[in-house]
Amino acid sequence: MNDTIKNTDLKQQLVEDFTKMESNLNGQSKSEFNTIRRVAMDRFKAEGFPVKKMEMWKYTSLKKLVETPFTNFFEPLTSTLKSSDIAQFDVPGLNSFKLVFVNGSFQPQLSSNGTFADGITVESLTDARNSNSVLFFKYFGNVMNNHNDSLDSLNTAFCNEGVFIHAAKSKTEEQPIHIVNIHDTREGNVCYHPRHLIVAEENSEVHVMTSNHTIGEGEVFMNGLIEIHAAADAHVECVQLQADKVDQYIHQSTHIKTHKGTTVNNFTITLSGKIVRNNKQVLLNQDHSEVSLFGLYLLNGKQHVDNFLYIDHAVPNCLSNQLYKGIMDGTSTGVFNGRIMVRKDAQKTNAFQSNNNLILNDGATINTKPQLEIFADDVKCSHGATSAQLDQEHMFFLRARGLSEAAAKKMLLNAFLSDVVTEIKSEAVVDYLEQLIADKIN
Amino acid sequence: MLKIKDLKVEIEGKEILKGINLELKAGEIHAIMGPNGSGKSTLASVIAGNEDYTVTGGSIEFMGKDLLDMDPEVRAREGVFLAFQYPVEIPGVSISNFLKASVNAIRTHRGEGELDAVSMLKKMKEKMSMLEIDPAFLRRSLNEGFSGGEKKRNEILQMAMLEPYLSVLDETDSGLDIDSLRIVASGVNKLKSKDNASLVITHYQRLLDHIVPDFVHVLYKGRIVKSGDKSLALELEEKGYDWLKEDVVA
Repeated sequence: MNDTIKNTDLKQQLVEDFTKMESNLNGQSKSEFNTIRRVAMDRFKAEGFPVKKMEMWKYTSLKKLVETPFTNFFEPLTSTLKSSDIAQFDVPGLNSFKLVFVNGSFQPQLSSNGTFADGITVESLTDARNSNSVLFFKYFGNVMNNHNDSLDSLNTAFCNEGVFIHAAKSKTEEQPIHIVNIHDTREGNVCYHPRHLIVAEENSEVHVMTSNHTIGEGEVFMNGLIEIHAAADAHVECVQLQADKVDQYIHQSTHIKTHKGTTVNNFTITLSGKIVRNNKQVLLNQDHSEVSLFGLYLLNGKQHVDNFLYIDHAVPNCLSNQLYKGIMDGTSTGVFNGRIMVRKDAQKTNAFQSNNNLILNDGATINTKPQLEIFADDVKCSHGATSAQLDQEHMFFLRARGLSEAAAKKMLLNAFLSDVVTEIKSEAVVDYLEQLIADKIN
Repeated sequence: MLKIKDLKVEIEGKEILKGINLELKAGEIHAIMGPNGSGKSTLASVIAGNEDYTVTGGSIEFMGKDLLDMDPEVRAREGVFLAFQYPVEIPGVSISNFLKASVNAIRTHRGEGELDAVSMLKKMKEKMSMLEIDPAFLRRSLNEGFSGGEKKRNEILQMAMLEPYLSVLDETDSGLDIDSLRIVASGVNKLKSKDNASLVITHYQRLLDHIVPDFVHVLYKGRIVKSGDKSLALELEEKGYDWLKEDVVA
């Protein structure tokens, strides 16, 4: 891998920042947590930013990103933003626990201070590490498999704050937990590495939503990572919304590990972004577990979105489902790379994958690459990828019923995307997403 | 209401209609019959404004206006309705949302203002009951998974909701079982008034037992080769089209 090392300015700066951070630790540099971080930093140092020469990064170039100067945020800060500045990011009609982060740092004064249901613990990673360290170290980094790339290592190196969500055995939090990531770029470009750890113990249930928003004019590189550890019969729903008013560089990894009877539903809605890479790593680790990955991307201008999914059926009798739909306009580019691995022992696997694209402009591109590697012989696997233009027969039908060309187009685009978000449990979230999608289609 | 003069139409360089002349007055039902490939569906598509077809000559006047000059949506808003031979399935578009958008587009054009939700629903339910359509269909996606009969009834439901001046029924009887045929025909008959007109395109006479035409025209090789009253349809049923073909050749 030596040929992939790139000594860019950004990389150099991140390496130096890490050294600075360590020197400020006052004797804690040998702590368990910092050892994990140092190993991760060494790995990032060795591998550098991913480059297009790598098969897994064939369609996404980070060249522009690494040439952009950023201030790297990794220390706690208290934001000068007021609740009124961020109220616009609330989901209308949704009763949720709002956890606000500004440039990666938790802001209790901006977050809601409701009481969580019995058995539900929500705290910052720092607090969890200090007061709940046995639990924290049991799960932190444990969900990640071997396929994490150097940007995941970079996240681990700098992750300091983030949310630790823990649902104890048989406990349910009905109210969604909304993690609001604010990029405050009023004083310049911002780089940070949010890390969230969701642990659902046996037979528990949690609903988490994340969203990202820029305040200011500057550029952002957000390198996020969410770990979801779902124990037996647990149910986790995780909705990731990328609908910022400003297009930014986003690398968001989501690592999911299941156990017997687990169900995890993950939704990734991408309406904004300059270069976005959503990396999903799923390990079906015990039998009868189910993971569904739903994705929607609606792109225009020069937006680039790369959805990279890896599902590892390691054991028998599991189900995985991928439904990704995209609409591309302008000169935008989309990438869908969905790999399903069915290991030799994973008999009776059900694995389904579907990626459908609508291309509205000759200048727009989709690269879709389904990959199935099946080593078991008694499985049901299917995959399908389509890319098409708007159906002219449908357009004519709607116009022949009095709808204008624009109204007909809008109706068809909304209809095309409609089945991606409907499985989300909260109706308020579904309504909100449908509204955001409709607004962007307009 | 509708005046078609010497209409010539081609698709991909091939001439399909070779000079059609036809006039419909308000209150009339005209039937167009003819063998496969004679140009019946082309005529229907051109009236509705399908841009796949190129009009190379002639004119269509609708209520005093140049129909060929209008976009398909303007034709619909002015009161032209085409019941499609093969209604499209559009997953994700519910019948109720579609009907709302359609009815309101047409009402707005006519200066009637949008219909409020309660009146809209009432109207939908009323028309659905007339066509024996389960109201649960309102929530279903347009024609998705519908049987042939359900699709055709859904077309007539749209016609009932939109209250057009001119309805063109393009082989509405194809793919219909006898019960659906009866329901569809009785729907069309109920919608008939002195102010509207229908052009019924069909291959077989059986639809005309239910929807009785004032005039019957036979289309063959892109021309209307014979016109008459409803007895012409019966004659065609009995003798087939061959005797007419001979006439044309001669």
